[in-house]
Amino acid sequence: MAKARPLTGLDPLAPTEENARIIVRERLADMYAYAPYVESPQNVQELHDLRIATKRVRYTLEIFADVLPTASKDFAQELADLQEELGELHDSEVILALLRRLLQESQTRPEDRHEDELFVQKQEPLSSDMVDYLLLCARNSAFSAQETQGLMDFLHQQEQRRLQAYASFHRHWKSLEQRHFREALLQMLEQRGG
Amino acid sequence: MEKQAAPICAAIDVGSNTIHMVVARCFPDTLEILADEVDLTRIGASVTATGKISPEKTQAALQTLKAYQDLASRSGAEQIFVVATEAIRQADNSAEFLARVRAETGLEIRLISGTVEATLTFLGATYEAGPQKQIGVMDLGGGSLELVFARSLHIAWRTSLPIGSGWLHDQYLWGNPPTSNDIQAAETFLRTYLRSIKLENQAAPLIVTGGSANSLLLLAQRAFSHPPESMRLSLENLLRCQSLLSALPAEEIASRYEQPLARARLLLAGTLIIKHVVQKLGIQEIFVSPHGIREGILLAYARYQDRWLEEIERESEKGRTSFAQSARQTLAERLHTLLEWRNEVLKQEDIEAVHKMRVASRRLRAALDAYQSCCAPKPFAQLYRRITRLATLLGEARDSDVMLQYLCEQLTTLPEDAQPGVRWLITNLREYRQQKQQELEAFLQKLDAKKLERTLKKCVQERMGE
Repeated sequence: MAKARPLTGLDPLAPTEENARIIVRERLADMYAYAPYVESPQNVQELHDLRIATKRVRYTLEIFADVLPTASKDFAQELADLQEELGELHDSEVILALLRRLLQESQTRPEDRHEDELFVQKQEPLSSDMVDYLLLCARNSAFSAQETQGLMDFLHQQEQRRLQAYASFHRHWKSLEQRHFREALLQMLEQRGG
Repeated sequence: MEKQAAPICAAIDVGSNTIHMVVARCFPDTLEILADEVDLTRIGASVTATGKISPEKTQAALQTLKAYQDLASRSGAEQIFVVATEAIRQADNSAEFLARVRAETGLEIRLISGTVEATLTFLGATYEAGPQKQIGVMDLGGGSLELVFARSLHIAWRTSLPIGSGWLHDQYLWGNPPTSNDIQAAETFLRTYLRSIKLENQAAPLIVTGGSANSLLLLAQRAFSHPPESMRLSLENLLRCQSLLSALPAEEIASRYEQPLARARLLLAGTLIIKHVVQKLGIQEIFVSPHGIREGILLAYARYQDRWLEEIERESEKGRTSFAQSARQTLAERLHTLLEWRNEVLKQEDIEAVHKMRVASRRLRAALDAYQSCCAPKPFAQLYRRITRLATLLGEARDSDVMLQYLCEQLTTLPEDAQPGVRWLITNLREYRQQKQQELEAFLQKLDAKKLERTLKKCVQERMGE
């Protein structure tokens, strides 16, 4: 998780509540900066960044729950649900990236080489130490035909999983839009007391 | 329609000098006041003298409360809320007093803290003021002084000081009129006492509420032709009132300027306290409000119904913690929670320990992000780097646990001929996981918890000391 953007305009001597409202507003703005990317599942990196930004808003609401209106807990829960869906999408992206690269690796061997657009990765996969490690393993030991077929079948299954995860997230996002979630959260921050 | 639906309620405040009741039709942002009664019972006088509420004062209070009950009922009040402040808080026999009132009137008096008193007073005193960027409210009672400053109507700072007009009168100004030596002693006390108190100079308009402030305004109107429509009193007005009150006996003040005698006796003490606070804050004028704690109670009830006191207590608590204080507390707690998982992860008995420690590391990093502005940059960067490295190692271990679990589950659902590829993944992923566990353990074994705690302390303290 990348470092969050440092915020200005906070006053260490002012009450926590006052600063908390500023931080939530800023983190919410960061989250909605990714809104233009939600319409396409191809925006892998941006959807991943949206997940991180969503998590930051949620964590901020949780850190300051004691000084924010009680309704902040409902907003945090809604964000936790959204984050869960984005997490499922991310997990499937990671496995897909891994499978594609493993299969691509196997196709790069002269004896197995054939062109199949399935393995052409249009987008840079999410970087991961785990993926790099498994790629190294794949280079050191050739896949059997059965293993390759098994990985291809599994990849197709994961494509389905990813589509379902995206659809579920996208439905939720649209429902939040219809319920004016962002505006309601900002309005909640204006409330005094519980 | 709305007018009909708004409840009529009564709020009674049993204070050191007075027992005061307001009956109003209550809306969340405004009140339609139907009755406003005050009685100078001066319970605080017996508490200052003996530490207890005397039988005479108890009797007088009971009589007043019964009369108020009757008036509230005639005004159509559905509920009567009664709170007690400084004098009752200080009295040795407060529990006995509260029980006696309950037994004889059925009224439940809630003993509220100074900070709750300040919050309610702020609510009551400012509801007619409209939006103000910064505003201060001082409630001068018989036994204590509550001072609140707010920005955009959010309470930013407050204090409750145990000095009130009745108390100062009983300590220094019991002469009638007090001698110049008594006045000098009272002023020396106030100057010395306020010097030791950190009053934040917010350069905001100051609303003053309470019996003394309202009586002073009346005195200025009647003695110095102060415009009746003006609620403003300048420092010069205060000095003129002080000269007058120092020169004449209470009886003459009462008869010349139509003031209740009991109030006239306390008015010089109230004037001196207001003057010294105004000088300490470096401001030139005050705005007097007839509203205060009672109106605050009624507005709180309209907003929160039966949870009104609970919500006001919560609100009071909030204003007391600065961002820097909350940073110190939250960061220390979260670092402690993170470190508590170390031994569990090293034991390797349950993969959930890695998950829990990772969650703790995320929570700590989120708090560091939130509180960065309260931290000294250098120790903050050191701490953040260390926590990030730990979070990365925990993340790599946890992500492989999650993927392994997922792959094992999938294996059972995949057709036989699709399994070898997933088996290959599981085998190699287990090796990777083992390697990550070793890296994590090596890091955790070298992790100096005391040093991390010292760095955190340094990072918050250095900044707060700037």
